Amino acid sequence: MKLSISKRLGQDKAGSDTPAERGWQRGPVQSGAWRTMAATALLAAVAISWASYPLETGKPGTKITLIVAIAAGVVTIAQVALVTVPRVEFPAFGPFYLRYSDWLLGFIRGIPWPEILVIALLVLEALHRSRPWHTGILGVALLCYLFAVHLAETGARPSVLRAQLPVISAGIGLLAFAVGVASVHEATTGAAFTAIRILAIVAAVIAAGLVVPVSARSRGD
Amino acid sequence: MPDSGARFEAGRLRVRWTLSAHTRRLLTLGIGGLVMAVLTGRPEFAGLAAPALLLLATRPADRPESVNLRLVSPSQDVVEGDSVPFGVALTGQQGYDAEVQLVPAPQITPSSGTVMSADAAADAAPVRMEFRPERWGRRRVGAIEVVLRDYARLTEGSTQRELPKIDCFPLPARLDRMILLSRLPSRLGEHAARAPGDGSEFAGVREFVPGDRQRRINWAATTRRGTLHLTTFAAERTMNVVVIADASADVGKPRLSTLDLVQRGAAGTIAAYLSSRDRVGLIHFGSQVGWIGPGQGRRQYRRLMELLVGGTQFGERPAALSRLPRAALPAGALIIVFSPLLDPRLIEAVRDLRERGFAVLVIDVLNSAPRHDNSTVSNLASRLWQLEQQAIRFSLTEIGVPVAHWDGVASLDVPLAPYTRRSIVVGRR
Repeated sequence: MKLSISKRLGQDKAGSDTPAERGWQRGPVQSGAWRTMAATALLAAVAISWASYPLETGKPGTKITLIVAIAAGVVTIAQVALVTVPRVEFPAFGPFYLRYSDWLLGFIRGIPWPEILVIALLVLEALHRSRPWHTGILGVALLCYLFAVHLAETGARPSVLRAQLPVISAGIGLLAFAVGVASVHEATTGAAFTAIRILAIVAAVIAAGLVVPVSARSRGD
Repeated sequence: MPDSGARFEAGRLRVRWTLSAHTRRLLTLGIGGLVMAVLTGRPEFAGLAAPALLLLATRPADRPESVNLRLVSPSQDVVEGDSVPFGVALTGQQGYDAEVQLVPAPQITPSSGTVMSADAAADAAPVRMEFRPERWGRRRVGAIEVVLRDYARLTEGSTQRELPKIDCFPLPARLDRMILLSRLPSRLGEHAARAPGDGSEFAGVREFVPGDRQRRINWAATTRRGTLHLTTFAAERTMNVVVIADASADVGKPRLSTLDLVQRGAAGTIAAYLSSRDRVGLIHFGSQVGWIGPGQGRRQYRRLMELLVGGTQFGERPAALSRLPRAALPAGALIIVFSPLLDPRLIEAVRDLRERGFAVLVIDVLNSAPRHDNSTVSNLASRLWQLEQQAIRFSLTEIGVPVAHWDGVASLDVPLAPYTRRSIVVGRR
């Protein structure tokens, strides 16, 4: 059991910038935790709907991928909800429903469902014809979904992401750049052009990856 | 009367670093996007990977190899059900937030965890944490787990340190009125004896004889009778008490099993007699027999509790208590036995003690019976078992060993009420 308290022996440390005050906290008693969980569910639903729309134009395998994505989305919510539930050791020779519950909880907790959902949505998007702006919005939705899962898991407030805001903005800028490049791609065709464009975007990402940490550190200093 | 001494321990712990779940998810999005871009030839997927990869690039590279953990250890003597505070101070975390929590051992409930800020390195004041042992015994508390996280929670470093073992004493049963013997050894104590002495309790009035102290002259009686009379007082003596804790069986409901009741009853009896300055000893009748002769004081309490909780780790299990040295069973001692009376050897030992002239009282802590179905044979077996138990108790009562049944819920005063109203007459049958 964990609580986010900063009790000192004898006295509380008044006015300090504790992690709890900065927003990071973890524990079963969190006001507003349900809001983060609801946001996670909503973002998962939006991302799944967005990636699968329109369902009819999808290539073979779209429906199976959609089923996997929906299942992963639902179980992710259960997984996030179980973070606040303490782990209980069920007796090995207990009744079948206890053993089944134990297996079920282990199954929900043990498998990386958010990652499965991310991959399923990428595949779902790839199974549709090329639509760069659509993929760009899906990328933003997926990023928001991952942050929502992270906040729901850790019990933190959204304000903790403020420090990462410049990096996120730079990333979304690159995403917009990639969408723009892909839109140009719709006008010109050919394998060589495609390879050059992908290389250009990867190079842009690497360059930004080299620049952003340096600027982030210098701001931190 | 647990000892409340705390110990300070310092140590440098190596930190094991791993990727956080958030990082793994971002990595999945990043790599997945790039793979999709290559497989489908659609550059927008590479752009989709960009925010995740950029966030991962900000992961701090300078991570502390180890941290200093200073532990203000909990008191090693605690009572079951009590909250036990202890302190944790952490230094050398190098700008990482630290989450400190107790990974509890069985029968330990951690009541709080804490998050220590990244700038706590300068302020090494210990953070207070607590745990609660749920059952008596010499047991592990668990390990202190420290998880270090950077500001974005992209990396996680963890390390653990085991807390020292504790002696968790049983919760003493309440005992307000004590059983007293009619004949007490001539040692100064707090119980009023039958013999006259220099105590404070009124014993009677008798005629003055030369040599008596004049300040004790009872002037009212002297005026009435016409001759000098004086007030006499009872001597104040101590008593030797030996508690026998039968740990040979443990049956019944959890938390109210026979062993739980034996431990709590024995602890309550020891505490009650020691607090009235009596000399108390203990015989622990478990897998082996351990004993401590009667004594007084806080140190004696601690020694007795350690034997009660930990038992003895060596020796053989004798068939009777006759082999124990005289110091363990001083003549004229009151012997209080806490037992479910399931071990024939203990019953024989009780008979033997009674035949040797000791005043013995058995507190029966058996509150359960073997499970049985409703078949005829099972019912018959159960009935036979009950009759056998009744016969054991009856045979003890017949030789002058009272057997009082205690349910473990009420105070010990309830079953002992018939024996605390007057002194028990000591004598050989």
